[in-house]
Amino acid sequence: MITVLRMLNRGRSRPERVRAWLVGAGAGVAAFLVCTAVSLADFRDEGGSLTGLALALLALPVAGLVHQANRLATATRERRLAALRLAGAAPGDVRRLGALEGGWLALTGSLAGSVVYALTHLPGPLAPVPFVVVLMTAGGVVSGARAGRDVIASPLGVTRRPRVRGPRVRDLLLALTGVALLVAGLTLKGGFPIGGKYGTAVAMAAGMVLLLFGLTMAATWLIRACAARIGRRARSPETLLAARLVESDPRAWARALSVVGLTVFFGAGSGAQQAGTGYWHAHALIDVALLLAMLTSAAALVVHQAEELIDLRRSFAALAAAGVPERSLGRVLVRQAAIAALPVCAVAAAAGVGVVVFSVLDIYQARWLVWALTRAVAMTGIGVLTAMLVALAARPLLRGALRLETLRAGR
Amino acid sequence: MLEARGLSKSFGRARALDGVSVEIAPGEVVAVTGPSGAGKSTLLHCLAGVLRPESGEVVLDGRRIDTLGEAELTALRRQSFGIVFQFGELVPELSAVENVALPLLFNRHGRGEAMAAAAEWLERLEVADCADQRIGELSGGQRQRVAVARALVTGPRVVFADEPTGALDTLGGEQVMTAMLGAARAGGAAVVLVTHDNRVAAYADREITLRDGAVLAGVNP
Repeated sequence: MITVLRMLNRGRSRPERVRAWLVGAGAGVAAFLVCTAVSLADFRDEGGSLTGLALALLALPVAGLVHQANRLATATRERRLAALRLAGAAPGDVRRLGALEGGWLALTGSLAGSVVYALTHLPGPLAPVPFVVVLMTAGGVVSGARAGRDVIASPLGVTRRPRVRGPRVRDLLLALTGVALLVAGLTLKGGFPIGGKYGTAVAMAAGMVLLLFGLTMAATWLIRACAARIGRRARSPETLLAARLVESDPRAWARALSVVGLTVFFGAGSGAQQAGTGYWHAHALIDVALLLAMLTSAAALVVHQAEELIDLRRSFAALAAAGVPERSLGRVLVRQAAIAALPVCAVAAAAGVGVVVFSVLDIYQARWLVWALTRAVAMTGIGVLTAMLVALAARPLLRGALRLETLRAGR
Repeated sequence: MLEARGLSKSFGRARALDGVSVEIAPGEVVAVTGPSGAGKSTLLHCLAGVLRPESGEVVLDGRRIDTLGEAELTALRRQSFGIVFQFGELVPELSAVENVALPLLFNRHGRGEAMAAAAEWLERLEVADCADQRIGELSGGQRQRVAVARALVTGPRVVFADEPTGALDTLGGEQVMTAMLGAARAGGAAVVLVTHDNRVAAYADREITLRDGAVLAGVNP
């Protein structure tokens, strides 16, 4: 299996090399940030623990970027899977190869990140290093194995399972389970029945993760509803097209915006906490981390934008041939981003404020809400603006998609 | 009305058109035929202003269009030409009526006016009952009729159709051709038709045959 992997790696196409580099580099950066965050978590003063939190926050978007990067080069990978099946590989072999490749990239990346951490933190604590490397590698294995899950590779060719495009009830259930765990953790205050002295903390952390993923994916419902409403009332063709495109595949947008949503969630939550506690210097560090997280989110959005243009290239090329100006199609991309990002960011910001306020409801003062809500609105604006700027930056990709060769290439 | 004089165009080393001259009169239906690689689609794209020829000129109503700037050419294609592709190339995320209304909306007509005109064209092409359906829910023949409605809704001077029945069965192809030519003639539009199929070419007033990028013959079927 390793020999086959080596042979495949030697023949990688350029997009595949870019993907491998992004996955490895992302795993390295995430490993460095998590190690540093863990090492700082022991400091109980304002600066130490909140800096640790800031770095941990930054690791989340990087992990999101790694996941998005794994979706790159899908076409090349599909051709490779078909060729492997034609050469006699069983479906299990193909999955194992994907897992091995993903794990190897994550292992090398996280080892590199850990070396940088060790060199910059000597004689600091090295205990988190093995744990983080194992965690990253396991993530790489799972991500690699799942990368080809929608592809049915038979010796006669490759087909794709129909992708789920709309909302699913289980997304909502995830969010509700998250809320239940958070409420249980808060109301039982250290007396959580499972997990000993860390039970409450683990339950609340798990609740937070479930709530975040649930809310992000449940945003699919909201995105679709908003897009349908805008589409019905659209006066301009650009808005009509943008709304209908978002309405037809809200799940892809919810997934692509999940990292932006997470950043907005933490930004709004941090603002709500800041209003009550002060800690301006430490929160300034969190803000820097959030800014970097937003930039990382933008990179994840670029991957989505590139994927989407591949899907739309025939329709857009036909429209351009029929006389629709390129700038109008560019506006469609920007409006799509705005239509999808606004509900995601608004919900994420509201949830961020809600979680913090609810967790300290007994001491939270109404006057603090002014700053909390101002920050929430600002974070929503930054999230939407980021998505729109990425769409604007996709113009060169759009130009490539509008070439006449797209229409001459057949189906 | 539309005239090409000495058009030449290459793709890399392959010569797609080699000094082709054709003339299309108002309301005329012209079929461009020939084997694969003869340059049929390239000629159609040069005439429609989608491709620019390397030499020669394309003239519409006495005005050279191959030298127009990109913005002017795009506006000309939107306002004076209609294009029908082999696979329709409609926007699958829009309903049939929205697809047909799209060119009018891009020409800055109001939504209500555009939708009403689109619905009227769908009725004329006998696909009114599909108006609110998405493209994926339509049959191949219905899709092509919607594509024809989209090409004709702006009242173009010339309709360009690249293998419009290539993806349809014989009966579906006949229905689409009858509908397209009937509607185009009613609106006074000329039609330039690229086809491999002799039965489709027989609908034309005149046939131009290309081989290796040059006009082999021009006949009246």
